[in-house]
Amino acid sequence: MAYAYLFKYIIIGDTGVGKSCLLLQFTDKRFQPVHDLTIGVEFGARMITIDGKQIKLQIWDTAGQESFRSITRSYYRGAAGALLVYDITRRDTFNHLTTWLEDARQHSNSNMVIMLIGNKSDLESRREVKKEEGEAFAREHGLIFMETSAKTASNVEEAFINTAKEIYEKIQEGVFDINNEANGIKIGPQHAATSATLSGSQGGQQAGGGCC
Amino acid sequence: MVLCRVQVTADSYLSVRMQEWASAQELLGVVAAEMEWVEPELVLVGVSRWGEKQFLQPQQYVHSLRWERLHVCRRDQTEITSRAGDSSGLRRRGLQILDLSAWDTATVLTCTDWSLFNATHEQELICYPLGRDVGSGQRGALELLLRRCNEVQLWVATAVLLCTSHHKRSQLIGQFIRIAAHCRTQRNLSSCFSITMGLNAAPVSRLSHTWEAVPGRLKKLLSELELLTDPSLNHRGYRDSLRKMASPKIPFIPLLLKDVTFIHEGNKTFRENLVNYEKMHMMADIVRLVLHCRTDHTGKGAALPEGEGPETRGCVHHLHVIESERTLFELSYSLQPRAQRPPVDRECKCRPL
Repeated sequence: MAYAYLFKYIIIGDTGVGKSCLLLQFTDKRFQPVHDLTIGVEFGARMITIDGKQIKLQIWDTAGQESFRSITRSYYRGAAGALLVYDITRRDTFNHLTTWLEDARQHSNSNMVIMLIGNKSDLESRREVKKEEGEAFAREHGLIFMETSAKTASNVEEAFINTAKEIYEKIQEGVFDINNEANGIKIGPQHAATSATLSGSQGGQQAGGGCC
Repeated sequence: MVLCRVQVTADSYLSVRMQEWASAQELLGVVAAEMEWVEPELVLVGVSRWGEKQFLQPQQYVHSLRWERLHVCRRDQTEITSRAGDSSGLRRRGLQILDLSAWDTATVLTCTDWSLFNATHEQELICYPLGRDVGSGQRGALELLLRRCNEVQLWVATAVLLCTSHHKRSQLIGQFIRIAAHCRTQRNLSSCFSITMGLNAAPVSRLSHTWEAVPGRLKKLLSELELLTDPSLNHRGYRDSLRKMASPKIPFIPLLLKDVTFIHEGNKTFRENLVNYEKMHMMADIVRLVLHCRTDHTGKGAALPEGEGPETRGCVHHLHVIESERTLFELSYSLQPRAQRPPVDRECKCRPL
């Protein structure tokens, strides 16, 4: 299907916080099961619409590789957005956020949009991390924040779509160099012609080098 | 064979290759020899996962997995701690890799990888991502194998970053590229992958001045090897190489575990009270792949390459590793300071296109 933009996401966070479940909840509804290991198939994908434009989200799940940061790091390189997930019923997963964030900032391009997600909001009775704590952490580190439940699907769509909106806004503002694929954004076939004219004004920029 | 992590400075450890039944005394002997320590009064302290400390008696067995970490200290409990960067011995140790043949070094790595891979039961590979225990003793082998993948990467980065001579550092990078290529020839995709990742680690890859001095043909070779670690299209580069390679061969285990995790989490085990056999077949395929990797077409296991000459001992047998990403970056910045970035002017984001 034709798309205007393709955004690459990465989902990170401790083991067992529900990274894969979020991805499955978001993509499974309309597509074939995404966890197809056939060579050449990207991880998870889904089309969304923002501002009347078709945007393809390609989501790289890091489940099962939490202790191999180097693989995760190789995924950062081409990511425009990251979902940093913790489990609201497990304090330790919240405590590890700083390490994850440090890692993400160190290895990604500086414009990568990071969404903080407190998952398993359906398990209110077992909650160990208050919503306010998540909000405070997000505020402090300049992240967007949401609580989700991959089980009941609450806020899952919003989490992925709001991240995409933020990336889209950054593109509109000219923050992302969309012609550099290392930024995790690809322009769809019908858009390629118009964007070529944009590249001139952004020439000479390096990935991750900031905007000026 | 087991790998024991022994903290030798505040920020680094030696991964010592020992027999399973090694005693604390034997381990201390190896560490002291490797570190060129002449102090007679050294003791080993085991630190458990829960932070409990215990002095190890000389004859006590060292169970590598029982201790989260082992420390060496003086008998009066004063630690011989310094930072790896301050130790000229450790800096020299990394440089020894230049004196060895790249092929022999690859051979030693491959031998260790084979013995860890062979000791790992297929069942562990399936149970580990599912969070189930296989039963006593079985889980250890896989943990060692996984730890090994990280250690090889960090070993490469550590050796490069501890080298203060610009010229030698470029040579060292070149040598690691050769070693990685030889690992591939020896059908050891695990160490080949890990070394390439180690050279690609941000603290190493940012050393642009050092890389400029690496010969073009070696850089070209590295870019070929990087196709293996490129995650695009679900690690197509790696999967293609693994498939084309004749057995016996050593796969990169973390990716196998990723596949098992995805099969497990992406597919229901039961559907309408019926077992989802499709999922079971996918799991079985992974097991078959592992078995296939271990044996050649006649069903024979890997014949280990010979040639662990005494000259390859030491720095390649017992890898010296700095684990902390922060320390690695500090070393990297001391070798090549950060480029001054122009201050980010928030307003310029809104400039007209």
